[in-house]
Amino acid sequence: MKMNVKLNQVFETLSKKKTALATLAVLFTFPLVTPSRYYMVLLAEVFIWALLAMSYDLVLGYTGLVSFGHAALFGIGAYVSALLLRMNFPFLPAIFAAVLFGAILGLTMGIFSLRVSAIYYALVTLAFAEVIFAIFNKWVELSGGETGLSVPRPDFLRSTPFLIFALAISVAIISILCITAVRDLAKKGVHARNKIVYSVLMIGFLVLLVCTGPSKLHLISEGPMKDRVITISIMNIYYFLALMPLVLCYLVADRIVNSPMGRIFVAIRENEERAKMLGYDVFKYRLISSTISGVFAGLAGSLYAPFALSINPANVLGSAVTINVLLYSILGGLGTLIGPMIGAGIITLLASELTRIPDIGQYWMLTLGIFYLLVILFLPYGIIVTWRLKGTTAKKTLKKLIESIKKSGRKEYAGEEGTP
Amino acid sequence: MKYSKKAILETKNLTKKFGGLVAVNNVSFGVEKGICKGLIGPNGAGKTTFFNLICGLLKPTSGKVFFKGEEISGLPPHKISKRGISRSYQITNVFTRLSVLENVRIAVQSRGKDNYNFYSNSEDLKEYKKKTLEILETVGLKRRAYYLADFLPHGDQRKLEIAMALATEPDLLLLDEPTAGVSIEEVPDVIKIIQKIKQNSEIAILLVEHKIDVIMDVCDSVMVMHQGSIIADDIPEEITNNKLVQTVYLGGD
Amino acid sequence: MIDPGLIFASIIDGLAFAMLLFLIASGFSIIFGLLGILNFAHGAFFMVGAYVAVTLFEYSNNFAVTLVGAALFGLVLGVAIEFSTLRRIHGNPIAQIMLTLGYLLIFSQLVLIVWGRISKIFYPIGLTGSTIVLGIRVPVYRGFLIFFGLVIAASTYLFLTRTRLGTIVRAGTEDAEMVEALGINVKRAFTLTFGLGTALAAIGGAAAVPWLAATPEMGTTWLFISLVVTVVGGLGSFKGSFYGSLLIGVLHQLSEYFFPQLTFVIDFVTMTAVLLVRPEGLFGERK
Repeated sequence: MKMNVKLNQVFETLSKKKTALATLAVLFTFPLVTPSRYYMVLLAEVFIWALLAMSYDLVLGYTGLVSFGHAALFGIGAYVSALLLRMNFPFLPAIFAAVLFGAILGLTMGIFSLRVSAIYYALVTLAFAEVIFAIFNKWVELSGGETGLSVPRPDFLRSTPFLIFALAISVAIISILCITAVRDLAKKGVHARNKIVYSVLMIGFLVLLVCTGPSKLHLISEGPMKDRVITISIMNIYYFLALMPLVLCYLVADRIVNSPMGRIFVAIRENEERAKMLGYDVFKYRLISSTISGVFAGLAGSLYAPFALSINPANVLGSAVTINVLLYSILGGLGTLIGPMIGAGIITLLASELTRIPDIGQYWMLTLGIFYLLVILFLPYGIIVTWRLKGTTAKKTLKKLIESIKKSGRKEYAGEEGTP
Repeated sequence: MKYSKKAILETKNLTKKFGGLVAVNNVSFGVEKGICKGLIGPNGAGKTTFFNLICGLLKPTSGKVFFKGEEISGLPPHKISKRGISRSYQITNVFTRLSVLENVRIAVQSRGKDNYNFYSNSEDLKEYKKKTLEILETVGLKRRAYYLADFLPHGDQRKLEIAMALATEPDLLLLDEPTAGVSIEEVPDVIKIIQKIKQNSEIAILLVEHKIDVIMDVCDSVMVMHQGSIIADDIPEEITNNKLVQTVYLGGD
Repeated sequence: MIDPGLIFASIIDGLAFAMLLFLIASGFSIIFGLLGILNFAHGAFFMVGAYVAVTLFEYSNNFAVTLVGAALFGLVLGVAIEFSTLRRIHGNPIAQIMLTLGYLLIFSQLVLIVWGRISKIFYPIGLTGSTIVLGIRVPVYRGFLIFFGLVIAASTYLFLTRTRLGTIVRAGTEDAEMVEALGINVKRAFTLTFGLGTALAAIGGAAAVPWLAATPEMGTTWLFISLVVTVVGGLGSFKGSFYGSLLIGVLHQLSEYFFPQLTFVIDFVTMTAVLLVRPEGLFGERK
């Protein structure tokens, strides 16, 4: 009996998160449904950048630490995994090592925050990232210089266990979604209109899956498993390789952010001095969030190396990485975890579409830069935050928010009443 | 005024200089448990700097601060807070984008054991919420628990300040002009809150105020500060009669 | 045995480099110290100054014209940016950083589009070659840079302390309302100051070309170095940016000569060391 009750509870919570479930389902089955290999690759890249963006949100959006060194975390993660893979290290240990480096680096950057104020921290982290970039640029034997290093395709990806794992998860998600939808249909209180919508969507989705899916699977055409095992094309596998860590990390980050410690992060972001006066050792918490951020960023980098098949200092350690991450976060909205991920998606897709337009294509970066400027000037809180504020007391809220932030900015210039 | 050995907070020759400016000049004083001591003085007298020295936001140029018999001068603010000192701010300094409930809850949580708990959902830890609601009840903010702190009317923001300071279960409460900017009608509310604190606990209170009627109503003794030095320290009635204080501050009324 | 001539040469280079550093870092420091704006686009102004100088020299063949032209360009560009966009986000440091970084990105791209990827250089007549000083061969242009830098440093210092506009700006940062109450348009003074800072950067970039050439990466590299200098010297301190430039400039060149792999590392290590020992910088004020 108890199992039943618990199971019921689980499904209840899940049914509240229908949008999230549906998004997951779409994401996981996308490779089976779509014909385009190009988008597969693009989305895989989006997932990696989304992971990096989320790591940045953890530090800036949740503990209020303005860091400009994430390129270092990403780049080192990429180089560690690249170098290990080139030495024929097995895949998972290589990733793990890269993540470890990321954690250590993140911790180091957190330590910097002890002696310096917010502004200096931004400068120091920027300088730190530039130094690492400069070192790798000059140390050609290690980094491959401008031509970079080539990274071998890990065998892990073709392995049956991985594939089955990926497919199993997809199947699991789809089933959960279906069960949730069915339960909702059976419930009495649900609007008839909603019921129709759910049923149509669900059936349509399953039909699409069944029709197009099988054509993506094919028998392995070479090697010992030839003609005996089903697989999907390698690009699709990369897709899962990028997606699963992202989802996992998001779940972890979400958990952390809603925990008591996460609430302390938020308090620190909102008002560092008050948090100190309440007895919180702000430095320790920033160390923790920096380390976790380092883990995620390092993971993103370590996945990027086998994905891109070739890395060089400019691509993974250069300031472009930091600026991009900033852009994703601002566009999407800091302090939301999802925002930066969506920002990453929008920008990456936008950038790739822009490059394909004839004539203007080469100016895509410039267009992005202008876009960036416009976002900062007009959407200073990002898409998600603005969207969340829309609805009830939307504009008034936003205005009050801006007013109070402006006020607190002006406080530093105006001086306080009655201060000695 | 002599201090009994039971002084919970004591300063000895506490001095703070900013370059050539002496903000706090050789202040030695003490306050005991359960006593509410007022601190008055003209603007610029050094009162807020004094508070900042006690709670660790500033380091003394010379002199020492003792709390519960141990020296705390030079410790960082979070350590001093953990020892039992709590403070409210003259200009509201809360977590503006969080709800009133969350503001106080974070303060309550600081004394709990979950500060490195990263796996439970903080909503599930009911004991903090319960304590938070109790405190909100004490200051009269319970009905506004879910308001965003930034949207509170000014008087309620001052109450929130006090609530947060109370929530950390301090032994010494530093209140920096709790009625600053509060309307005449709401001042009695604040007085009531302070009196409730005095009745229900042994918390020592240091109260900086400009409104004389508040001082007269709640303070057991009053210190007067002028240009960084203490010029008088007595019971409220005597202070109003003190000639020096009158010329310096009360304008000779 | 290390050749003393080599050491001497590296020190000369260090001093010349320090002057260039000073030109860009002082601008950054002034803008922050007096206006409270973190101008992450500052390296871009240096770069733009360099490239504009290249084109100006191509057409005029006159070094003085080139320098002045680049400075003017930097001034105008800075004023335009401050007036149109930076003003709106006064008091919001994160937005400032983001916005100015955006400009850095845009300018870097524009430079690539207009001038291409290849680095450009020019050689002012009369300042090329080398002379013998105290028995040692010294490149003439390095000497010019040292002289030029000192002249600019002195003039800027005099401007800030002796002229009415300079005093207004300095007073304005202490108490903007008060100055406005005196009937002076503080906002305009601020805008001009921003322009002054960017003009310094631009002229620095222009002066750098005959020695270091104009390259597309200049923007970020010089931003980084100016940050280091500013941290070491102290944010907002004019004196600090001068002495900080000297220190970093000489260290940087010494490293280039004797430990080339470690060049940027030395900069960063120095910066970290200063931060650990004296977080507000050598001449900065404790906040």
